[in-house]
Amino acid sequence: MKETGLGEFQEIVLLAILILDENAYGARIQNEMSHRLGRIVSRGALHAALTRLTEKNFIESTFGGATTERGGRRKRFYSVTNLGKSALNDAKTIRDEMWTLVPKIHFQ
Amino acid sequence: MRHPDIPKWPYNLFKGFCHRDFFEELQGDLEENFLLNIDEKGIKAARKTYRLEILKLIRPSVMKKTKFAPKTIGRLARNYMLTSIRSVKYNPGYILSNIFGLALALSISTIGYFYYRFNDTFNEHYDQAEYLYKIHGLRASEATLGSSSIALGPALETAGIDAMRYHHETIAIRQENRLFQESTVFADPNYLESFELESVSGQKIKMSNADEIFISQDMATKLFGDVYPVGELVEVVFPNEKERSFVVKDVFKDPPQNVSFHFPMITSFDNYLEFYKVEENDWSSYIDGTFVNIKNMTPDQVEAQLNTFVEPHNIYNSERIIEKFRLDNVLVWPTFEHTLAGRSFWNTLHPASVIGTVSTSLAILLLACFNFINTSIALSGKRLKEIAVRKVMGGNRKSTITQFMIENSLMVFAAVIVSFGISYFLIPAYNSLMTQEIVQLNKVPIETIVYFSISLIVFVALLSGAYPSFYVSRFSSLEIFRDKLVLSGKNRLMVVLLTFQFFLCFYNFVSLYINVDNSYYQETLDRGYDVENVINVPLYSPEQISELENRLNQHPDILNVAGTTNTIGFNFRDNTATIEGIEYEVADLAVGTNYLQMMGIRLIKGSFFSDQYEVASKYVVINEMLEDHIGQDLLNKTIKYEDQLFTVIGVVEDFNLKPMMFDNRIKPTIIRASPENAFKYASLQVQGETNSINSKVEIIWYELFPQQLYKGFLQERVMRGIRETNNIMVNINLFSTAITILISALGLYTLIALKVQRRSKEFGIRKVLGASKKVIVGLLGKDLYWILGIAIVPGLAAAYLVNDTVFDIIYAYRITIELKHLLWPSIGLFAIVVMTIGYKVLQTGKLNPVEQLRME
Repeated sequence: MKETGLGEFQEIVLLAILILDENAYGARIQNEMSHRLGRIVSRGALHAALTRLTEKNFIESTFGGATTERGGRRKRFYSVTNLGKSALNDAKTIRDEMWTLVPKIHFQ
Repeated sequence: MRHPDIPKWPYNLFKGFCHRDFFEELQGDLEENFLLNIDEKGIKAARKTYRLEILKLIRPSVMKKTKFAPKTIGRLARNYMLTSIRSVKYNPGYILSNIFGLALALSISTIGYFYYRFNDTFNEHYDQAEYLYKIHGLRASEATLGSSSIALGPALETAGIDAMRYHHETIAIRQENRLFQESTVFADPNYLESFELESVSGQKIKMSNADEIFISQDMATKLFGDVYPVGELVEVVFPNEKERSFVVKDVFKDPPQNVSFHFPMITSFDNYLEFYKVEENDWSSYIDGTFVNIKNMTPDQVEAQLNTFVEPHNIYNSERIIEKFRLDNVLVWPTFEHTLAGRSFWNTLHPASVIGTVSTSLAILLLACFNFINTSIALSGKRLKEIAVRKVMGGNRKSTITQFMIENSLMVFAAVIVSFGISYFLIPAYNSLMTQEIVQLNKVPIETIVYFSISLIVFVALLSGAYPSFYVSRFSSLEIFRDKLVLSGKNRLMVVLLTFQFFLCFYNFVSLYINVDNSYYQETLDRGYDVENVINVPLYSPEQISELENRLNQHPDILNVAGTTNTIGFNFRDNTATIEGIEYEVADLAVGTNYLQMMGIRLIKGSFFSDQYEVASKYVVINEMLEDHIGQDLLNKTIKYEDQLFTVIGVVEDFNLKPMMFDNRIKPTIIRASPENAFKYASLQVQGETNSINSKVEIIWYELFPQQLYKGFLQERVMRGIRETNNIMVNINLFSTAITILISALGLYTLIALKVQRRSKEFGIRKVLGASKKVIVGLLGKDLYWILGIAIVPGLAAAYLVNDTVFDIIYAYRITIELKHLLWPSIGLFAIVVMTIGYKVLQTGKLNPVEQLRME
């Protein structure tokens, strides 16, 4: 089996970035995740995950332009690298394979 | 730039610790969400979320990188820690007592903080507080009107303003065969949408039906002995003696103490209209208050609308003419609620009580910090060589300061932990002393406690750690090695701090004694009548007296029953009487013919009233003070009074007409007989345990009058105000005295013990050369006598002045502060000081000089 090096939380962060596409920056990712998971995700937890993902080269980021509603501060936009995408893909494949092996009986 | 609504301190904290590379991104994100949250959940929730987010951002990946590599920091920290632990290991006793003293003071300062917070966050419990206003009527010369007309609410509703009426009444609740009184609130259903109330299941309570009632948790246990009696019936007897059942719809959690609205039960306002026979559009009937929620309007718009109702209000209220209506936000109004006419809501604590508590707790905290400073300096005397060696080996002053700061911060941190433990026991004990529970840890958000503890650690560590660190690090190594440096009690600061500590000790101890003595004096003061063995039962109609009398006379514990219009201690009228052609201001008391004998009023001359009202009605009884006032024998003289002539039949000793609080002094008094059809009370003279007899009378009452609430109370109730006040004064004084003395004694013992250690060689030599024990004891105590001598003067003066002024304000009768009140506590304190240091000093005196002088 292949080791993807991707935790569950990090996986969800990657997916959120992909969903948001062009618009993936901190606050939006945080809200998207809170919305999907149905629980509050703190900015601190998200920051830690983003840092780890950047270190692993799964994501990269660029600064956007200045915005008024943020007190003139720039947004940092994140995008998933090819490495990140393939890691996600691997994770999904592993899961799917395992799901096919679960006897249906357990869910009746 | 910070958005103006973002909490300032958390923002600054974040800016301080956040790495520059991340700050722009993270703060931008937080600010964006902050603005989003304001729209969605309101500003209070948004600020709360922001603070929590900052707390959760305190993590290594966000923090600034320091110039040291993590490894170096680790090693450095380990070394600092090792030295710190070693120093604790060598002097465990002193350090532990230091920590304990500080912890005690920290617990007290928690109480002070909660007093401050109580007023600061008053009514902030309500999420929509910023939009909620109470309506007040401004009047030309009289106090502003806090209550408002019933008709105002509906009138505003028609004008499209979200208005709610709120009114409380005491109602009678039936439980089996007895009734008891409870207060209930009648409010419009939209009241609960603005002033939200949480049910025990965590949901917001919603009022839908008029025959439903919501009760508090206490009420649930009291009425049904069940924590969640939903669906049970509450039987209420209304003033028209009609009974009505309400269904318990839900049980609500008590809000924190610092809100204006407290009630054990709440039901629909329609019930008030129905059972108290009032009309919805009646401008002349009054309710506790009308509130508005102006989420979509400005206060000015609403006020303009409101003032169109000034005219109808004034037409129907010729005695309460108002100039205009004013809106006051519910966050502001509690600060002046006590000045309003018609007030039924809780207000903020009196600023004096907040200032008093905060300054007392600050003084105790300062005292503990000073103590800490003194002990730290004294302790460092043992470590001079260590400091010198550090310097010689190339350590700079900064590293010495860091070492000592770390040690002190560690101790402060330990003290904070210990203080949590102390608070756990101390705060319930403190609350039980007070009539109102000010300190409610369970109603405070956790982050408040975290922030409070952090700021306390920083504040105390800086205050008590900084000076010793700087002071100690200044010494030159050369002087230390040559043994030239003398670290004795000569340090000016140490002396000043110790003097301040003892000033507080004297002040507190004397105040305690004065208050205890005063409370004993007031408790045992002769009031001129029998306070202990009388029960008063208010009557609904004068005829009830005979029925009651017949039944009660069969009871062995009830000696006498007297009907009366006024009861001594609770009510009388101010009146004027003409005696010998001159008018006098008198207190006028109308009583049943046998009431005075029964109350144990003492006759000086003449006689009491005759049993026959027809005879008695021609006479009056006066008190000694009235006779003294006029200056001649008044027995059998005539007094003109309410256009009738009366003959004075007896003169009685003075007695208190009211509780002894404030300016309720004894007045010249005229007592006249009142006819049976004017009786408002039945007064019972009883023997035995009054409380149990009172409950027996209650049972008899309900057999006779099952539909009317029994309101009997003990005559002893005149003592209630004074007992409560005295209790608080004595308890607070006891509390602060015990703690100041304990902390000071701990500090003193440590100082003396260290002094003995340092000077042991000197004493050894002195002894060898022939000094007696007395000389040694004298030498050790020398500075201390001076300190005590200086501290005693302002300490006694302050205690005298403060207590004398306070007594003047709150008591009609009080002790005069005498020499003994100053003398005994001073002697006591000297004794405590002597006991604290005596053992150590005597031990030193006894030591064999050989032991002291031998090197290693």
